[in-house]
Amino acid sequence: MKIATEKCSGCGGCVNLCPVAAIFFRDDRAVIDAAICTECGSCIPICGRGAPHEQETGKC
Amino acid sequence: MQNRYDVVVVGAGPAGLMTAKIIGDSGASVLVVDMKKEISKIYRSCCSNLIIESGTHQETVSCRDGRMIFQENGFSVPYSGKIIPLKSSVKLAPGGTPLTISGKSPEGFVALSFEKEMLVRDLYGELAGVPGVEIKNETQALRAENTADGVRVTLRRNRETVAVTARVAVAADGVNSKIVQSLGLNETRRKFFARFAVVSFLMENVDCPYPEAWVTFVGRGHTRRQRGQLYMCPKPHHGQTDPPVYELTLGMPVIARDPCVVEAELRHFITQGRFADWFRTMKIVDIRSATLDFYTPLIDPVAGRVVAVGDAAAFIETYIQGAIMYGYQAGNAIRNFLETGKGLEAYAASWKHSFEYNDPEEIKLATQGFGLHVLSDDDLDYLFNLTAGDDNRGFVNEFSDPVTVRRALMRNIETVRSERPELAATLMKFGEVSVGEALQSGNEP
Repeated sequence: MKIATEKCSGCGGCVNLCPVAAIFFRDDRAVIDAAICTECGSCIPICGRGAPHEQETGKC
Repeated sequence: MQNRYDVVVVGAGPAGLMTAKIIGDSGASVLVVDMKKEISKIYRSCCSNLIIESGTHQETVSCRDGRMIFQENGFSVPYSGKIIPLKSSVKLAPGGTPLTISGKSPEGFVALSFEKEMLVRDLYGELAGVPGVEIKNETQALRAENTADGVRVTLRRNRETVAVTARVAVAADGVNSKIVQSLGLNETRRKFFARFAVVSFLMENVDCPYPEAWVTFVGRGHTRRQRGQLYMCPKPHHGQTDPPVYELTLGMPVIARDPCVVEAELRHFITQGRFADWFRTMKIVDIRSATLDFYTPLIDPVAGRVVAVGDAAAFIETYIQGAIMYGYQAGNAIRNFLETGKGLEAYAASWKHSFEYNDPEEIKLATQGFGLHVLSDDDLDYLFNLTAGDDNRGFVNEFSDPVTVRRALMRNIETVRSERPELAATLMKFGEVSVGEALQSGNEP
């Protein structure tokens, strides 16, 4: 999973709700650590702005 | 950063900053951590930038001479920003009919709107000058563990994990606190409603026919997907109130098959909704968001050497004034504990006693407000139309608002009984949701 930085407000809502703590903050925007991410997709419906998406297709 | 402190405070929002200040003033060593880089910048949608009804959390708050004053607790904090008094709460049915609730405070206000960013900046500024207090930004707390003689907090900074020990830790990391979760405290809390995703737009140049009002768009017909909570409020922005910036907020329950729609719904509302005229010449100056799960409150906010303050212990929220007040109380309790080995229970007792949602009856009352969404768009316009000319008074806050609305509608129950008897029967059922029904997990009322 990846987070489209331009769509991210930096609200941090996804950070605490990721089941494996794969999301962290850099420069006040959410970033997914690919090494920890299990691609469960839980982050997608959490974000009202559609920032998280699957890597290849950019599908939100 | 050292590896041992007297107190570690997780979260540098209003609750964490206040708690840290009180403790730091005693000379104790305090580490405050926050995952943000710009700690005094607000990125999160927050509707509680309001000073609300006197008596909330057993406290009365006012603003004067650059201070926000907490009368019952006997302290004040700096607030160098401006205030917009809100004189009414206007609820708009999907057809545009208003239900107007006028202010009930002695000055005729329903609430006072302040600027959270300036308040946080002021609190941060005061804290940064205290010797013995270290503030680390870009530092995320992952978990806390009670140990034999204290607490260990695991932090992540620059993708590296480090553990810090302390005599006490403060969980001030917001409504879905990682610290609270890591201690297993959510297992005893009932999950309420669905998860909510929120997006808000801060806009200049909004032509709103209800200035100085808290506006709520009630009913399903305001959005395409027929769900969500939509409201708008004027706010001071960057120290200015004239013209005001309006924050329009939409919160929607998250449904797994239908992701990331909140912003799209908001854009649709302002461009093609019934009130699109208001937004014809608007300019978006900021976009904020939030996502939250709703849990019943932590009735006991103290778990070993971990003290939960502010939204971290709450159902929905404590309001910013509550976060600051409970931060003051927790800070003093922790100071006492550091000196005497006792004192945390005084804060726990105060929280149990004064946070409204610790009383299950209050959650029941709050759910009355959600009954409005059961009504059809047409019924809402009909009911609101009946209130034209009535003098309904109240405040903006989730504790008393549903009762005020119910009272306003029930004033005309005889007319409703004669004209729409089925609607009257439905209205009579509001407030009869049992606490058990209200607390069923995951159910939308």
